[in-house]
Amino acid sequence: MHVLHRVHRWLRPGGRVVDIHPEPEAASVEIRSRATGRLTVVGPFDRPAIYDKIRAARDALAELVEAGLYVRERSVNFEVLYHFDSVDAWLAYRADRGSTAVVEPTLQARARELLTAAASGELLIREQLRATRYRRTRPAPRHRPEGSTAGGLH
Amino acid sequence: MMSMPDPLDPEGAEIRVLYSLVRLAGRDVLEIGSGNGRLTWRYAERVASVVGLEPEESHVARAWAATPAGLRGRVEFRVADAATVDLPEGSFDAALFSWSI
Repeated sequence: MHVLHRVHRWLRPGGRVVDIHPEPEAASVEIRSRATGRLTVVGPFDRPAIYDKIRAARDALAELVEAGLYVRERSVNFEVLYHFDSVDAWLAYRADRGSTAVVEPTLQARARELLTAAASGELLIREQLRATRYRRTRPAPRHRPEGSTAGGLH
Repeated sequence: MMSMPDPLDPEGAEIRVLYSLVRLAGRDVLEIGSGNGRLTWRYAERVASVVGLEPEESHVARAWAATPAGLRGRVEFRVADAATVDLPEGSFDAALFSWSI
């Protein structure tokens, strides 16, 4: 049972679900000079391991909408920035969060080089996100005894 | 002890989008994957209550430690997996999945 089946029971009638997750695409690693504001793109940070998870989560949500448990109401695409003083700070943050995607050594080296060259630079990770609002609809059908002709969700 | 500012989204883009999508004022909120409370702190003052579920015990410990005294009666963080936790039916007005679905 997907967790959203459980959430459906926990929500009051008409309750809302807001789901925020990254788009299944590479984030952009950039250097910004604090002195001049100039942005330099270092390169893409690709994390193919999470893209399949994101697509699977989207498929699961679509199934629940199809099953009538939720109505998809509105989506918003937006971006967020991570700010770090150094590549090491970025790597430490990722380690602290248990992130497993490898940051390619060439990307790290290029970021370090550009950060050193920038006037009072900071490392930015630019990530695209999608936020979607769903409305809880009718109660989910309860499990019925064998022999019943009424359908149920499984 | 001062905690380091979170490097994610100091500009507040995520919370602005959240407010544009759902009215949280006076509501009972369930946040699934609340982590160290990073997003929770940005809206907790508006809500009636928030329960944050987070399977990582270290994150929950940090979230509790960072909970302002004025919010302790309103915010609850639990070491819990949404797939297995027991919660009462019909308890919440909104459920948030922030990078966790």
